[in-house]
Amino acid sequence: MRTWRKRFPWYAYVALLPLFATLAVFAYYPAASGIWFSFYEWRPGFESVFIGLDNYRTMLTDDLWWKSFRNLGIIFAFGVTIAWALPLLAAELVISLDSKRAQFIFRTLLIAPMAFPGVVTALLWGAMYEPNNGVINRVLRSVGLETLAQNWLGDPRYALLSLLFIGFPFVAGLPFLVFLSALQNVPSEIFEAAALDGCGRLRRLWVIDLPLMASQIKLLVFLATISVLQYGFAAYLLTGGGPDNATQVPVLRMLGVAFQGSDWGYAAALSTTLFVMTIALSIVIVYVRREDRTDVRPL
Amino acid sequence: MLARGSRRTARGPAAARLLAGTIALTLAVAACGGGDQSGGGSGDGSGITITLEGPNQWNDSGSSFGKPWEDLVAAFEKETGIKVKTVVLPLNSFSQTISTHLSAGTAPELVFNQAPHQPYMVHALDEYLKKPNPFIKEGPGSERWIDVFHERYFGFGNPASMNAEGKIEFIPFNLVGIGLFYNKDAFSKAGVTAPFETFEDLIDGCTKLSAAGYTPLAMDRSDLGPGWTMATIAGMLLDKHVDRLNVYTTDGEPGKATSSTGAPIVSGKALTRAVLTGELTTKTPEVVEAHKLLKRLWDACVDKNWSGNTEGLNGAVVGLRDFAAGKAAMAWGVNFGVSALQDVPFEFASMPFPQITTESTPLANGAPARFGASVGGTSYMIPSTVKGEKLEAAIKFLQFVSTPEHIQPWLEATGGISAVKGAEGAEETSAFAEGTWGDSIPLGMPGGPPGVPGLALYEGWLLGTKSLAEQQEYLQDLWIKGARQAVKDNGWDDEPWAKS
Repeated sequence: MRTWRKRFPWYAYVALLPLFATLAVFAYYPAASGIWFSFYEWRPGFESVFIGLDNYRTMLTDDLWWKSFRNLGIIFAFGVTIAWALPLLAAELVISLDSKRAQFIFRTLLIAPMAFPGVVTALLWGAMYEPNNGVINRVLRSVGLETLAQNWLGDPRYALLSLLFIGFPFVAGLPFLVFLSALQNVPSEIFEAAALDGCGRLRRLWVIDLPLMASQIKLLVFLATISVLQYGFAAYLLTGGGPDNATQVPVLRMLGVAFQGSDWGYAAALSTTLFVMTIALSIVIVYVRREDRTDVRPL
Repeated sequence: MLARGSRRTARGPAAARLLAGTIALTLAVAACGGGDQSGGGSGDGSGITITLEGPNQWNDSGSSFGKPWEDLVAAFEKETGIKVKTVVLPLNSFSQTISTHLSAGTAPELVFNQAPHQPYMVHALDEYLKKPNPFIKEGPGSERWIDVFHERYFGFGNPASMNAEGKIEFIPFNLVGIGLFYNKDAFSKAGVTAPFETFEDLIDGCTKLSAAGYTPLAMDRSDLGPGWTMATIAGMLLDKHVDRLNVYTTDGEPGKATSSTGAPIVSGKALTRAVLTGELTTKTPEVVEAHKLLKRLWDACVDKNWSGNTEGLNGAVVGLRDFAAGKAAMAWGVNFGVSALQDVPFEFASMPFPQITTESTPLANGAPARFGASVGGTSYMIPSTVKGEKLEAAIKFLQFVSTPEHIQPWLEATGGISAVKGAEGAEETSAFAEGTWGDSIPLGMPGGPPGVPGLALYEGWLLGTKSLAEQQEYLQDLWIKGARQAVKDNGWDDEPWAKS
């Protein structure tokens, strides 16, 4: 240990300084500031009054806040089922291609939409969902499927699912990239041996591919948990939590308290609570199955 | 492990100092960068620049409020030597931008008033309004600035002019008139005559317009359509409760509140009390009836997909796209909407909402439909962080635009309704402020707590996802929350009814 420390040049840390300075100013400081001021009647540009845990007491009796968590279960279930199954299928198909060039082309095509600006994508889909003039309903009507045309964002029965389908995140997204990377790292000899032993494609998925991707799946659960608790971007842009609160989520309640109620201290308390929940759930996920079981099952 | 930890601890302070130094340097640079906001300039105005930020209410430009505005600013700059920079904010996000600027203390010298804020964030203008407006040499306003405004809409003691602390914090450049635009061609084709006299006439008209292939009333997914309709309907039905609930003046003292015209009104404090004491609930018969009439209108007049219509949302005409395209025959709108409808391929006109009579409900008491003109058009205020010569310059600008001769050309060019005496405004929208329709609603329906959009109050009921009983329970809960928040915000905690 001491030898390694001697060899490692101290000035290498200097190279990291700009990174940490940037993080400190733009990430750590605002976050710490938000936590700090959650104990205040926060008036950002003015004198703030310390009120202890009052904001948190208010939160405990704020049923608008607690009710906003109801939709998170649906969002999480969607995020770890459909939003994983299709990327996994796509990754398996891409890895099965013999041609490296074809693999590269399909991989690029499938991850390129990740670079599209989120606001543009959301607004574009908002226009596509428009019930009378939107592309989706026009296409359905033009092919004789008028009964399937819906008031996608305006009907409480469909609004949340419509938001979740924006941009087809389950096709082009991070899960695909993670699954594909995991499969690419599996030595081809393993796949060849499985094939020689007569292992079918579906069986290989269950007994080899998925066990080998266990750590990546844990990472995806971790990321899904964070993204679900922070969900609200598309709802903020397109539905504002409606119709009839069908797309209400905690982040929207927090933004409403801040921007419409100008109650910044309370909004900071809600934000801090979301942060603590994220940390707590992340710790649970990290410590559940801490041992990394990458061994495959017997064929 | 302990040794490694010890070393880290020993190094900690040095690293922290370095980090803190970096942050301090960064913040210092940032602080220096913002220094030009305080600016300088001489007392006669030369060299002073003030900034005004607000939404574009007149056109779709992202950089200018239009030539009439530029002309108004140029006239001010020529007369005072004070430069005015206009920052045009997007219509769909101006509220959050201004709210954030006000809260953070970084707002410019003049900001649009329709953004959530607290009284401490802006200057009270009462003392300035009691002094002469230097741009008015004679007549109303030359002795007290406040006298130049139409008392009916703006003045001391007028609840529409006052904030929660009973102070005036904004100056109106114009008035906003709300009413129903209608497509004359569509009405003619459907055999419908405007204006509608009664609510039943309106429902019949909707039936005929639907039969003629029109969507009777354009609607979109904004707060405005449901909110304005409910406010108008409830304003008529709740009229009989005004005297009973009118127990606090507009200053919050025990007594009767009146508007500038002397008509009785229910102040915010009295309304809060009525909610918390249960004297006004969602089961009050008139409130229930208002819900039923609103739903009846929705079912007869509004497109079934209204809640998904998000295209072309704007603050001037509700459901603008459908109305401008000639698909819808009527639309709620404000006088600014005239400019948005300039190029429509049909003739249009405007009318007030019809009266609710006993033909529609036995609870009607003959109260007229009211809404009309108010100061909720183009009004600006000065953040409390603005001091010294910048503050004086901002006051001068507000005084300049409330001078009849200076504001007249801008009003004429923009379809505005004048807030000041001696300026006539635009002829085509003057009807928005005339007659009983131009009177303010004496008792409005209570709202929900901050952070709950107006649309969320009635959306479930209008979509049919909430039964009447569910709606009553849901809305009552929001009323109570809104009232409790009002008690907290206004310091009414010591009132006996506030503890209920």
